[in-house]
This record gives sequence, C-alpha cells and structure tokens, in this order.
Amino acid sequence: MTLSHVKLKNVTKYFKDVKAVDNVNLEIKKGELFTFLGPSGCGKTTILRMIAGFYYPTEGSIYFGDKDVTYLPANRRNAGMVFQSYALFPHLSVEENVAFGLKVRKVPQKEQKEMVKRALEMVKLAGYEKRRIDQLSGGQQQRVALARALVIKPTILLLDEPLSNLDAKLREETRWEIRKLQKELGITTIYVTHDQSEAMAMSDRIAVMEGGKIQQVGTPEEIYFKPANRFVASFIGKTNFFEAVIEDFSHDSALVRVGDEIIFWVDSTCRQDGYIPYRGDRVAISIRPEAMEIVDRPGKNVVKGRVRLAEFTGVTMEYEVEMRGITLHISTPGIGKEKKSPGDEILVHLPPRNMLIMRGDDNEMA
Amino acid sequence: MKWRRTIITYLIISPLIYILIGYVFYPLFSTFVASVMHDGAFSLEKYRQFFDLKNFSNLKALFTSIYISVLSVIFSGIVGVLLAFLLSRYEFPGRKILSSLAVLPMALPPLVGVYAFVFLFSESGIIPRALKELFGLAAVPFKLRGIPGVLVVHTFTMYVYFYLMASTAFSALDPSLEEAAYNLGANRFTVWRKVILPMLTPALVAASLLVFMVSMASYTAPLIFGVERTLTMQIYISRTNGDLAMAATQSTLLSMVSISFLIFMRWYQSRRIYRSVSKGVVTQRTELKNPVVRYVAGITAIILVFILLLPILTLVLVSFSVDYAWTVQILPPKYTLANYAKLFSNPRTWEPIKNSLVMSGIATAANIIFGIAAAYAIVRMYFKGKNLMDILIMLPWALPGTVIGINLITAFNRPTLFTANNILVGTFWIMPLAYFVRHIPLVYRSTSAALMQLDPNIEEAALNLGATWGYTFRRVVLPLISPGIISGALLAFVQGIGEFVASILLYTPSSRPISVAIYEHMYRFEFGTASAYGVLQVLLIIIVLLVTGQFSEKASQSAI
Ligand SMILES: Nc1ncnc2c1ncn2[C@@H]1O[C@H](COP(=O)(O)OP(=O)(O)O)[C@@H](O)[C@H]1O
Ligand SMILES: [Mg+2]
Repeated sequence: MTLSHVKLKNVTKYFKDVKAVDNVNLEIKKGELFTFLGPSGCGKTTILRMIAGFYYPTEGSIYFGDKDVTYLPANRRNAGMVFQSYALFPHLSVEENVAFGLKVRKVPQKEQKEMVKRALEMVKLAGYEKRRIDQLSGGQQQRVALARALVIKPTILLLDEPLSNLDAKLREETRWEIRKLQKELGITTIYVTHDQSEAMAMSDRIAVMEGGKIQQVGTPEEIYFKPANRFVASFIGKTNFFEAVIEDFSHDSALVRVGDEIIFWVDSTCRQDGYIPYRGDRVAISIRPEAMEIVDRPGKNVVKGRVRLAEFTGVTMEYEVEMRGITLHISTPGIGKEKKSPGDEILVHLPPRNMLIMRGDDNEMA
Repeated sequence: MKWRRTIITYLIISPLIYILIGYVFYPLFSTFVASVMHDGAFSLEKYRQFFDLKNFSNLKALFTSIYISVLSVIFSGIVGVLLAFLLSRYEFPGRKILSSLAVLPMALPPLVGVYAFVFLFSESGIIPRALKELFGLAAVPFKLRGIPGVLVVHTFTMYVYFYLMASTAFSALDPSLEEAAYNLGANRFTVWRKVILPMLTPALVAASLLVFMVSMASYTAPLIFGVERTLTMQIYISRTNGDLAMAATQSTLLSMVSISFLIFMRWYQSRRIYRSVSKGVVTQRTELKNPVVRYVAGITAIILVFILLLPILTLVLVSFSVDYAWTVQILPPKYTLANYAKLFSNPRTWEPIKNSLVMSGIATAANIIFGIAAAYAIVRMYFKGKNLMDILIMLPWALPGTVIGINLITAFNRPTLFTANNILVGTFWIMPLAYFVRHIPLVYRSTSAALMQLDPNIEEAALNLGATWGYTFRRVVLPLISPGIISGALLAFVQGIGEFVASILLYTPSSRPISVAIYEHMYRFEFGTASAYGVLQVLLIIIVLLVTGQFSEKASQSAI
C-alpha cells in the first residue's frame, strides 16, 4: 500500500498541435483534497478528463495506486465525477439518477434503495426522490450530481468547477459542505477551479497551473507566502512587484536597493525556493498590499510616499501610493487609523519578514 | 487499448460510407457516365443535342424551368412575406386561426394538391363553371392550365417557406430599433428600407434559394397542367421514349443546377453573421383600432382561411362523389360512402395502400438506423473526411425526385456490388430504396439536431458511472434523442406514402404505390376513388404534423 493514490508521470496532452498539458508530474495522496488552480484554458479540465479516462495522454502515464490506468476505459476506473454542467440524466428522476451507477453494477434492488436513500440524506435531499431534474434548483442539481458520484463508492472523486454555476452566497455554503463531506468520507478528491479563494479555503494542497504547466504545488499557506514565481504570486491574491538590486546578503538579512534612494532590509529567509542571491543581483521584490503599515515616525524600513488614490471599501482602506518612481498598493484595516487623502505625505513600513525576494530573470510576469 | 476508439469509429462509419457511396454517389455518377458514354465510347453527342441551337426543345425546357422558378420565387415571396408581416405585426379578428392554418399547404402531397386545384379551377372546375352559370356566360370566364396553373400551385404551396423564414425574422426584430428610427424622424419608407429590409435579407435569400430549387425540381404540376417543356418533364419523356442517355444528360444538367444551389446556400449560411437579438423582446402587435379597418381585416382573414382550406375541402367533397357521375355539373351530383369502403375491402384498391405502407415502412426503418448512426458519427466522433460525408448525406436533399429516379435506374439496371449482384430495376426493392435515398437528409437532420442539443457530458457521466458504451447508448442517448428521431421518421414515412415523382419512374405492377394509383384513377375519370386515396394521404400527414408538433413541444419542455 503506497501513500500516493493518483500519480501522473510525464503527462503531456496535445489537441492537434495545441499543447494543452505540458509534462505534468504529480503525486496525490490518499484522502487529500487536491486542487488544480489556474486561469481559464490552462489545461485543468484536460488533466481531470485524462484521470477520468475521457482523454488519453499523448505521452506519459497515469497510476491509481500501483496500477497503470493510462489507457483503461473510463467505465472501468471507478472514479466518480461531478461535471461543471452537472450532466444529470434529464429523462430520469432524482432517485434514478443516483441509482444509475448501482444499476450498472447490478447491486440488488433492495440494497440500491437503501444506498440511494443514504446518499440523498448525505447531500440533504431526502424527500426529493421522485422529482424530475428540471424541477430542481441549480444548487439541488449540483447536490444530486454529487450524490450520484459518491453513491458508487468511488476510489477517487473528481470535481470540475462544481460551484461555478451557483450564485455567490450558495457557492460559499456549498464549498464548506463539500469539504466537510470529503473529510468525513476520507475520499481522495481532485478539485478543479479557477477561483483562488475557493482553492485556498478548501484544499489540502494546490497545484497552480498556467499554460499547461504546473507552476507550483503546495499547501495554501506555502503558495500564498512562498509563491514559486511571479505568476503564482500575482495569481494568488494581490501583490506589488518592483525591481531591486541586492546590496548585501548575509545569513540573516539582505540589504536591498530600489532606484537610487530607497534602501531597506529583507529577512534573508524570505526568498524564492532554491535561490541564493548575490551582491549585485537584480531581483524582484514582492510584497502583499496588506503586509505594509502606515506609521507615524521614520525608522528602519520606513519609506516616504505620497497618496495618489484612496478608497474606502468598508473592511479595508485601499491606497495607491507613489514612492520615488514606484507605485504601491496598500491595504489597511478599515477601522482604527485615520483616513489619508490624495496628496497626503505618509510614511510606510515594509516589514522585513513580509517581503519575498525573487529572481530578476524570472520573466513570467502575469 | 488506445486503438479501441478508433476501431469503434471505423466500425460505425464504414457501413455508412458504403451506403452513401453505393446508393447516393454511385447512382449519381452512373447517370453522369451514361450521359457521356454511348455504346462503350466517350461522346458529348447528347450534350451537343441539348444545347443545339437549331433544335432547341431542350434549351427551351431549361429556360421554361428557370422562368417558372423565378416567377415562383417572386409570387410566393410576395405572398409569404406579406402574410408573415401582417400576422406578426397586427392584431385583428381571425388572426389566430389564420396563423395556425398558414402552414396547411404543407399537408398537401404534391399530386393530390395539384388535383385539388384541377377540381377547383380547370376548365371543368367548380369555380369557372359556377361563375359561368351565375352570370349566364357562354363559356367559362377563366380556366387554370399551362404555366399559370403551375405558378398558382407553386405559389400556394411554396409561399410557406417564405412565410416561415420571414416570421422568424420578424419575431427576432427588435421593435425598439424601429421605434428609435421613427424617433429620429425617419418616415415609414426609410424605416423599411434602412431597418427592416436589411434584417430580413438573410431570410429572404435563404427562402428564395429554397423555393427556386424546389421549383426547378417540380414535376407534378407541369405534368398535370400539361407543361411539357420543363426539364423534369423532358427527363420523364426521354425515359419513356427509351432514350436513357438523353434522360441521363438532362438529369446531370439538372443535378448540376441543384447542387450549385446547395453549395451556394451552404456558403451563404456559413457566411451569415448572426445578429444578437436583444433578450426578452416580445413582438408587440399593433391592435387595429379603426372599426372599418378591423372589419375589412376580419373579412380578409376569413377569405384567406377559406382559400387555405378550399383544396382540402374540395378533395373531401369529391372523395364522396360517385365515380363517372360528375360530368357537366358545377358540383358532383351523387354522393356515396362506397369509395372509402372500397379502398379497404376491394383487394385491387387496397393493394396500393398496402404497397405504400410496406415500402415506406421499410424505407423509414432503414432511414432511422442510418440516420442515428450517421448523426452519431458526425456529431460525436472524430475522423477524416467528415465534411465529405456530411455533403453526401445532404446531397439527396438537393436532387429532384426525378433525378434520383433516373440515377437509380442507370445504376441498378445491371448487377452491381451494392445490390449483391442483383438487378434492382423492375423489382419491388427499387421503390423502398428510392424512398430511403430521398429521405436520408430529413431523418439525419432531425436526429443530429436532437443529438447536438444533448450535452456530451451526459454520455460521459454514464461511462464514468461504469456503464458500457452500448448501455449508455441504449439507456441514455437513445431515450433523449428519440423525439428528434421519431419526428423525422414520421415525416419521412408520410412523405413516402405520398411520394409520386420518383415512384412514377420506378414502380412495377407489384409495387404500385398510392400516388400512382391516384394518377391512374384520375386518368380513368374515377375522381371519387382518386380523391378518397388523396384524403387518406392528407389525413396521415395532418396527424403526423400534429403529433410531431407535440413531440417537439415535449422535447423543449424537458430540455435542461
Ligand atoms: N477537445 C478539445 N479539442 C481541442 N482543444 C481543446 C479541447 N479541449 C481543450 N482544448 C484546449 O486545451 C487547452 C486547455 O483547455 P482546458 O483543459 O479545458 O482548460 P481549463 O479547464 O483550464 O479552462 C485550451 O487551449 C483549450 O482550447
Ligand atoms: Mg475547464
């Protein structure tokens, strides 16, 4: 028994000459909720469909446990899938939809009834057995699709943007429910979404994708605080980037210069994985808008700036601040501090631990 | 394992290709060969004869066909667009019933429809005689024959194409656009020219092309109204005179005209930019307020409804008349129920009904199987040559029935690979084959339309749940597309029952269909029996139209 449950080895997929998935290597662990996150068209669905068996990879292999399933027909994989469009059978009732997989497996009638009932209870649809599909709301249809996929006790659960057809409020509710269910059942789940907050909230681990390639795999925290490159940094949350030069680098801190005048310290552990900066290196510094503070007194790592725009959103104050040629977006809590106005001179503190030094030759700007 | 899908794909498409090549392409090609090969040698003699300026009977037929078609386009265009405009823009007494009957001419099979007009308007027809009597004239004031006769029948049946397409265009027209134009000070004429006409153009072009093609293919009306100099009639005459090479030449030329129209139409529709229609726009009908206008409109509506019903009412009336009794009277003098009783009890009159049911049934069954497989292959599978397959499938739609008849004759009057070395001409089997070929596009279209509506994920969901491809197809795909299949198949079936144009070229004593029987009874002045057959055909068509209307409604209800 290995710990890895689904393994992708050098998986590449071409559609004609379009490379939709580019040499993906991954191991998904038993029982985890693993998310593919990336902008539309980056190849998420294609990967999921290869795992389900609807496409075969052009190159590479896919394993479930130790078993090579690369070319195993879809109907023999025992992977439950929830489609973006739900793909419910419109000519069958709720009950018949959920029972479909059991009927195919020739489960005895009585047992079928029992299992369908439990599955519908699980997704809070008890009492809807006889309804026609077109008599259900979008959220209910989504839950039927989930029950239909779960009732066959799949070895893995595949979800392709299952929440994208729901309205904002329902989306948030449903994502908690899916997560709860997944944990209760302990089922290995592969989740596809383009919504970073959804991915962050639900996942054990996330693979961030762009252009068919995996950019980074990690826990939500790792991806947020230690983005592997500029694409990941800017795709997950908001961030400020600016060019800088390393003036000095030691085991505990780095001295960084921006332009001719701004100089500040960055914690030397705050750097891109595997990158050791040298004196004179041109780098990019990333800092999140909410990682900076507006302060009253000058000091170490405090830089002067001028407010250009100020916006009150309720939860936060959003500022656009000009600092000797560079522009920063700053986000501070909406309550507490006094409000600054455009034209005000302010002092901004850049905490050394809240920045990230990234390779300067990394040109994958989003 | 990777090859499994490829193997399934080829397993499905190879019989389709075999059928298309064997029964669509090869017959067309045989006709072409027959037109250029005489006694085993290549010769363009028949083409020279066709385009001979000294003896230009053929050229004249070509021009007559074109002349009739152009006028048919103009007349049915005027009637269809006007009717669509009135019915979609104005509210007046009788509008509802008029709009529900506006498509009724589609219920008339070609032969029966023409005979209804003969009963009504020919020299011995009801209306000319009634007028003569009423006004004490020495001779009938008018009579419908020749080219005007053909044009009246064409207009009556073909305006429906314009009506349907223009109605769709009118209902998609955003009234606010028009209001905006009036607001900006445009007058009625400018609004029509600058706003309405451009929006209508695609519908008008499509309907014109269609009516032109149908009219070029028309055979029955020229036959009954005695216009011998049309291309379709010439083909029939060449064939009955035994000059198959000439018939083949004429057919080839007619096919070329039809196929170029098909290509032009496909090009036009693919080029066409679909305008986004503002959502939620309900066409507002202007209520006619002026009492005089309302009165006139109401009476006009009643007259139009009467005109629409007249041919069918006439047929029904004549179907109860005693054969041979109607001579010089305005209306048939003696009535009986015997005609209908005879149809079902007398083996001689029952046989054509049985033949038509059996032959059309066989053809339709084949159409269903072919249509499902072809639609599935084209909509869901990937293979090379898909476009070519699509064109071959749609080809019979463009080919006139007469041409299909000639094609089958030239192809299968000798043993071939596609007929297991049998000669089909002169056997029963050539008839169902002809019906099958003629209705390939119809059943394919309705099936593939249903399949295109079906979310491909639904099939994948079934596979994902462990179902085999076969189970998925039987339990998921088939039930979901069956309304489309059934409506296409029923239409094909009733059209087969009414088929005349190809039948008259191909039938044998043992495979005489209803339409040929009607033709023969009319020839022997057995109007009652002929009309009883006709009423039977019309009834079947009306039932099917009602049922399929029902089906498509159900389908749209359960659409997700
Ligand atoms: N069946 C297909 N045929 C051709 N190209 C496809 C097909 N499916 C996806 N693609 C292409 O592959 C790329 C990745 O698509 P997809 O996996 O659907 O992206 P995502 O789900 O991340 O939005 C896109 O460029 C898309 O156009
Ligand atoms: Mg996708």
